Amino acid sequence: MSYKSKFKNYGLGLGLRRDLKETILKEIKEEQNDFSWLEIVPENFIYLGAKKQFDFQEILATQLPVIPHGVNLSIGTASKEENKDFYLLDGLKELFQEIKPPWFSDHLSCTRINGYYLQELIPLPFNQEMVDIVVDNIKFLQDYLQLDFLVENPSYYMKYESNTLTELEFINSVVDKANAGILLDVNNIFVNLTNHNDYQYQDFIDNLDLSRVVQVHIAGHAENYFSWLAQKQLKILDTHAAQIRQEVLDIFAYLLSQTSINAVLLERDSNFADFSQLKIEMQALKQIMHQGALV
Amino acid sequence: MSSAIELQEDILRLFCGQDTKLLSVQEKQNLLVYKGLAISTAENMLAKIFKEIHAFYKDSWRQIIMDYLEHFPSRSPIYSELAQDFASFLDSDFFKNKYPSNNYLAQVATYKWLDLKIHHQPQKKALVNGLIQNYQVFRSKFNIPLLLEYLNSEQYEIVVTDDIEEQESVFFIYRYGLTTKICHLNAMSLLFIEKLEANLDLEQVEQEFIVQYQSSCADIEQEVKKLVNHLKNMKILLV
Repeated sequence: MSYKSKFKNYGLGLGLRRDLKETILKEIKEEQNDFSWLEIVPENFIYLGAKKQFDFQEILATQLPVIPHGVNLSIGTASKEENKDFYLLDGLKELFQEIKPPWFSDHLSCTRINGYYLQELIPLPFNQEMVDIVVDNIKFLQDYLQLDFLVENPSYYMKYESNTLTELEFINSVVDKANAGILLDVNNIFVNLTNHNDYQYQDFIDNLDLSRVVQVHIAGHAENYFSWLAQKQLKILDTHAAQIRQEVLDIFAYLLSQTSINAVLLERDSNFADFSQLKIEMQALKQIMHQGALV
Repeated sequence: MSSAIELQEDILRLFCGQDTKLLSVQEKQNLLVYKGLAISTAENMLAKIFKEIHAFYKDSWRQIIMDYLEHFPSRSPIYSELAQDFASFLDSDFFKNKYPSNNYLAQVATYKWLDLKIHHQPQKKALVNGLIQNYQVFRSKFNIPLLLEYLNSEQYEIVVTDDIEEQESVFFIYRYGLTTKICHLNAMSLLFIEKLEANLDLEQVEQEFIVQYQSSCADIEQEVKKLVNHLKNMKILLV
């Protein structure tokens, strides 16, 4: 029995962002929704007041599954004295009791150093020392929150000189030792291969432990976002603010030809002006998922 | 200390604008992409929260936010709490030496943060005596509602270096339904709130007022009744 066979199939989901809430509720009410679950950034829903809790109750009342995807669990924080923020963890524990998610996830990165939050997903060195640190942190999280954890492959705009493993070796080693799942961001595969030209996506997918890939993120990204990117020999940024490119859809289709996925998320954090465009994207994704027998 | 810890401490130093010890030139260059992205996101959020202050510093806002994040890196995983030290930053010698300033900026920022904090606070149950629990008493050197009205008015041309006259005031910032409100507290209403905070019931407060103000029972009873009605109307007292 593979790791992911313990989870059911949730189909296509959409990120619940403040600017989308009313549209999402309207779509559900009119039974026009192309999505069958919602993803939240849990840090935005812990320790909140009446207004947001009230908003959230409306979402919960739809009875659509809500799956949390964190940004500040910082599973790459190295210092043992500083790597547990119980203010955050206890807030998440309370939230998870309410939404009862099948799993939770965060990025393979570091956002907290010496107790300070840097507000960005800082990449990790790909080496054995960091594998051990991340594994310890994930084991602690899974134990404390009593929930399965998925790690997301982030986009990274740099490579450390202390790297001794490839990204692929790093991810496979972490999830194997921590007994965790993978949230595979197919746009990040494209961003990383475009910026670093280290691998072909087929090789990456073929060699990833696909038995642990439970969820997928798919999004659009910005190109030449800042002029200084070129100076740093980078071409694109993972912004979640644009239409999905055909190359990314191709990676997604290739992935589905190799394995089944329990949940797919169209990730969009801004530029919501035209929801009909998002609907077209959701329908395109569903078509690919249908071919992969996911819907 | 492990090399990973040392590396991350160096990254923190880079984010705080300090000299690094281990990062290579190329690593520093690339990590600055992340620092730039963090500043871009914070710039927009803080401009929305502190819109009156942003209006003064539109041209230097990005540099101000970079200085802020370097001097006051956030200790909270909740993104909006990035705003909580902005008043201290505006009040710092560093800020005052580098940017044109005045005597009321930090007070405006303090109020804006308290308003946001109360808005985001979990709803708490009122005390047994009826006093709501989602509030903050704010002692200010200025009449904050009037000051904000002045700053948001298009009638005046306001110069950032112009101080304004101080006017000591005490305010009660509190959750009012789905929003927040601010109201002025006079000496008697402040004392009344303080007694309720100490878990006294209304009769006990009345007795303490009689001693405090050395006044007749009837007069005090009348005053307390008026005050209670006023606080009920304001939804500060839920009895």
